[in-house]
Amino acid sequence: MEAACELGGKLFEAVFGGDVRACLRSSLDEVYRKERTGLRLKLRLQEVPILSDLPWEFLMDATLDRFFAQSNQTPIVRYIEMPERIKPLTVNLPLHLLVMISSPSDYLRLDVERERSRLEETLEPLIKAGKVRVKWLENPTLTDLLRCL
Amino acid sequence: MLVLEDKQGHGWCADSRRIGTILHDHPSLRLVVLNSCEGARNSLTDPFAGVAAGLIRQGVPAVVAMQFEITDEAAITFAGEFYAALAGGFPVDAAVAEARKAIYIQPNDIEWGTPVLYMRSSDGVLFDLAQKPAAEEIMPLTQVHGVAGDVVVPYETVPKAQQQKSAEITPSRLQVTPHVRTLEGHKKAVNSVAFSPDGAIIASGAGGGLLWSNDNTVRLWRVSDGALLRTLEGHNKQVTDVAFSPDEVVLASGSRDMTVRLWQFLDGVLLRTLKWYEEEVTSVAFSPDGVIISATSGEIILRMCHVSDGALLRKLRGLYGVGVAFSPDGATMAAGSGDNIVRVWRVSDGKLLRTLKRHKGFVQSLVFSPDGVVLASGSRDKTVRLWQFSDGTLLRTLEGHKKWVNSVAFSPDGVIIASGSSDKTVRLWRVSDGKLLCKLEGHTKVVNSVAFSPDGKTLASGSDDQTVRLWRVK
Repeated sequence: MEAACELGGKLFEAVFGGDVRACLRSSLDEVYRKERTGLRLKLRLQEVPILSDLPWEFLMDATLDRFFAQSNQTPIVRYIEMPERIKPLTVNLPLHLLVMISSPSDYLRLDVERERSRLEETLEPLIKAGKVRVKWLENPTLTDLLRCL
Repeated sequence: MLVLEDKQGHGWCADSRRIGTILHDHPSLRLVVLNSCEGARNSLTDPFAGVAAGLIRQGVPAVVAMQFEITDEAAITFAGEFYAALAGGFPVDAAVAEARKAIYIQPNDIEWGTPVLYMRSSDGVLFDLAQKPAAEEIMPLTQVHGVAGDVVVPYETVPKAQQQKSAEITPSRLQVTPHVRTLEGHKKAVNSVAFSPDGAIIASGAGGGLLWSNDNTVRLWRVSDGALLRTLEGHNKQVTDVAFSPDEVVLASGSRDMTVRLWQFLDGVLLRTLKWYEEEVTSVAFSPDGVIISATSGEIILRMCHVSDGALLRKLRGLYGVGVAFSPDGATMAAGSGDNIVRVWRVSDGKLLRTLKRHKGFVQSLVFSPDGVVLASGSRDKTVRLWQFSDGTLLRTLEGHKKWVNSVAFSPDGVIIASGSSDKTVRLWRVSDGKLLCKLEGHTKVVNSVAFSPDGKTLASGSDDQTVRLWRVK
């Protein structure tokens, strides 16, 4: 935990100085005054690979002793600007999950069966409640993925 | 790259454009989750970053990717909480935050930060649910733009010389003088140390840490007085390993920047950069006749080339390589790996001769005894194991370290084996009976590398505390 705090604090000090920190503080104040709102921290790091390699999820406000990403009021996202808008989509539950586990024979083997059974176990309440449906892709090949979609 | 399977079940690398093209025409596909299971990889940087960004560019609204290897426990907790929150109508980023909390309270102090959310949806809403859940469960989020690209990460200061502690000396012929010399100058962790074959010079490779590394250099120091002779600059990322050629002409350095560089070490001229790696180079070693062997982290290919021309001699598939070592006669080589197995190959034809399977953790370092009879391996299971090389029999397990064993080295006479550990100590053991001879304390952080000088009188250790320490051994 110490390491996470130290790292998160350093990242914070590096980014949130001066005006940026003041802006963050006033935005957070506003958010905390209103109910059911939050502040999304969007990181645009695509142009700077050396920065996108850093674990920004550990950003920590040292004075508040709180990790931003641990609160749904202050999520951290890596934002990628795209010209096309996302078309709105209205869905009915259940949500459909397509799961593919790749474990090629010439690589370190994964315990695929165990992975699968643990995930099934975890999702069972959601599946029973009709919120999620899971489909397993038997052969983790690109061809099968294409066929399955 | 994602490694999928081909029809025969072999690994097949699919880039994000290829996968994205398949996904592009499916507007109801709103989210991709890239999970990296325990043991599935061993890379230090985030190999999914490129794939995730690529998929977003191909039209996927959001991607969750694990930036480090994640344990099964954390991954399962994440899945349960995350999908429940999504099905409950949370925006995707709030759902990720919920899942982080669930991991954190497991308790798990680190892995809650492993999932990274990439998205292009400005409001985090991936879809609207036809039947809305109760209003209090949904939380709209406002946004702030502010984190720009021109962030400067502060340099870490060089720590002051640390207080010296005396070594515990056991009644035996062995005497160790606590660090005769501390070589200071690196601004980042020292990951590897190596003596030149004549013992006059010590090379150290540095870099790394979770933050951006401001020191990816190889430094050459004079052993006699600790003077810094030369700083070799060129690697863009952490230098993970350094090795001298037996003829003392060439120094090889492997790096997370996916290259091996060969330097003429007398004048520091860069002779050649080997660029055929697709992953971070974790380990380099020379055979007695100048063949270089190297292994990489996520990759499963061991590459060999001759120092004279840098031409690729052979690729051996089948491991996630870490420590690599040649037997003294150059006929066989060994590599440690993420699957806890030590593998031994014949150099002449690349045939896999032996697999040694007793470690219960990642095998990080390997070394042959000078007579080639014993192979020693250091592992994250906190042990050093000594194997009879001829038949693979486990001779002895050296237990005592409280954390990972990161490096092992034989004294030139083969009597002593040294081990460096994450518990900040270096321990010296008698090979013949496995007795702990002494524990060297002084480093203030993880010890990454240990090496004996060719005359056996000096032991060098490199550490995360950014120093190289030299210990007098008699």
